[in-house]
Amino acid sequence: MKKILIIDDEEDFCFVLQRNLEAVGDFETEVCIDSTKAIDKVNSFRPDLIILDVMMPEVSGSDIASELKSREDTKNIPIVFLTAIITNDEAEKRSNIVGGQYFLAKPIEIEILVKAINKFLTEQNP
Amino acid sequence: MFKKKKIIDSEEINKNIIDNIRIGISVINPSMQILTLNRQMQQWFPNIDISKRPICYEVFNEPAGKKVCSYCPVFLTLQDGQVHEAITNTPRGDEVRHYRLISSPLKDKKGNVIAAIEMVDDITSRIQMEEELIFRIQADRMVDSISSGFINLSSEQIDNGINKALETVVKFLGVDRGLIFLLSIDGKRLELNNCWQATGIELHSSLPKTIFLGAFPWLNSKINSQEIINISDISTLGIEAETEKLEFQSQSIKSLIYIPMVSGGVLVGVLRFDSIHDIKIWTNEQIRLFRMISGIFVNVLERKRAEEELKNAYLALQRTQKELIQTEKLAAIGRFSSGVAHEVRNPLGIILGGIEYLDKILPSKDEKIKEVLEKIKISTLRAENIVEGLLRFSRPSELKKTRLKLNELIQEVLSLVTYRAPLQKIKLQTEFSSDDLFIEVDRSQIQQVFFNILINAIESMPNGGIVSIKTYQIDNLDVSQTSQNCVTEIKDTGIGISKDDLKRIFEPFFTTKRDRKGTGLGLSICKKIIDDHNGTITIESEKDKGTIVKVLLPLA
Repeated sequence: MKKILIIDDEEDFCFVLQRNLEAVGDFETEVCIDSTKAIDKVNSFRPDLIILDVMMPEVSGSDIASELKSREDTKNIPIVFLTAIITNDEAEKRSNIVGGQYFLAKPIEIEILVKAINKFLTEQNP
Repeated sequence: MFKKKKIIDSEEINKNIIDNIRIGISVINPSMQILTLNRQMQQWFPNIDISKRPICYEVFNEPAGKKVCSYCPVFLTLQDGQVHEAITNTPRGDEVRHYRLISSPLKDKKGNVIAAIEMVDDITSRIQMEEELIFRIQADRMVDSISSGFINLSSEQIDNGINKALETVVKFLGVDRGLIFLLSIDGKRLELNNCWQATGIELHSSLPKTIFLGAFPWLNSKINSQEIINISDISTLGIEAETEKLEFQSQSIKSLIYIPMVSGGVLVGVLRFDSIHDIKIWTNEQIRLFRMISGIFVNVLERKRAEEELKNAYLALQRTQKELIQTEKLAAIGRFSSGVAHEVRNPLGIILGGIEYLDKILPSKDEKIKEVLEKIKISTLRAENIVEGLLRFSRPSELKKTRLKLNELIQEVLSLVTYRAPLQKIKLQTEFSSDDLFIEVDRSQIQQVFFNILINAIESMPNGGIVSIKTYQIDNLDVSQTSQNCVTEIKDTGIGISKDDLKRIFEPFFTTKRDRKGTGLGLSICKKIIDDHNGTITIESEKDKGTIVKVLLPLA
């Protein structure tokens, strides 16, 4: 069972997303709504993939991502970024599956998210 | 008695007067024979031999007359014994001379008329002065009326006014054509600006709209030295003006005059009058008139130029102002839309996620619930669409340009439209330019523009109608920049747009379709995309008649 960590300060969003992921796939999910504790959570949970909100108070999604990329043990964890302030076109342009990152504009459709997750997980473990 | 000697002999006085007066005097008998001539007469007609008793009408006229002149006052006097008077015009060499003739009877003691005394006064110079005076008065009157005619003309009416003034001058001077050529900025060409010609005179096909001065060295040097070029008879032009002679003759011109148009010492153009049939010899008085007219035209053309410059400057200012407001508005929208997007999209995400979750876990047979969920989902996506549009509008767009054919791009959009929109009762007509019109654009953005316009057109015809799409090329005629553009015209027969709405049509969030899910962003995004492509989009519309949208894009 693949482990997915959701880091987003919107608690209700995380809750619904967790329910959805569990309903559609064979995923084990955990949520982190406090961005300051995100790195600790990654260390303890050791996720196969992270869903990361870009705009969060205190520590932003991009800061968390660069911290993870700088560390040997976490640099290969693929990240799906979620953001509310870019258009769908822009999100598509920024995505780079091979480089281990994917952008989705909120609100996301589960189907699309799951497709992206599956693609990552097969790329990582063919 | 010592007889007093007459101090002065009266006969001597008479003879003296008669011989020294500047009036010709002759005595003519009833057979019309000249009996005597005074000294003035002898000077005018040195070949007349009085001893041969010549017949007056044979020797006074050139060529010799064969019978009594029709106006002859002598003949009348000889018949009725009264004083008679006549004025005649007689050709003498190259010129025409004017004479006043007075005839008085010479009677015998019984009162019979035995001869007539004819007194001839050469009034040529007086008549010429009178004619000049009349010409001057009429010319001044004409100049007055022409210049006062320009006073209230707006700059758009000036060219028309000049044509009318040319008509007046052409008719007054009895020429066939009046033209104004303006000197190009580089001083190398004369461009035809105005022309008026008498009816019956055809504008000769070889009459050029542009005179390239380099091809006519003689004319060029005369024009540049700001001389009046007065050619009474084109055929007399010498070898130095051979090119000009051939050129004018090819235009069937017999005689012409160029008058320089000078403003502040600088040549701005020339005024030209052509005579097709007659040789024209202009008097100083007439040349003075030409100069005055030229001065008037220079003034009005200068005024026109100044007014147009002022108007253009004003328009540019207005445009800049509008753009500034628009830019400021866009910047504000940009700041605002990011905030809105964040705040609105998060709850939308929760709603959408929730619906999708419920949709999955609810038993599939419960159709009513599924239907409600589907409606919530559609509404949520609609709200998301608005946020997406808002973000797209506020972003500086990155263009992924490719070179493609306009007609093909429109064809693609048309197939999308017919697929997406039900086209009952709506007829689509296309009239594509036969040439390939290549444009270099961001394909998906331009597609979005045409798609939007077409959907608007279709939606404006709920009861059916015709959408016609036309593409064609136009050349930019602005001298300063020669560019080629293509235009796509999309015309519908729909409900149209009111004047007030038309003014606000490109404003973000302005919509007349609030009740029908319009966001008010469609056309403002279209405008932004077309602006980003250095094109223009214009909309003309008439309420209840229909709308024409014209999209102009530079050709690649």
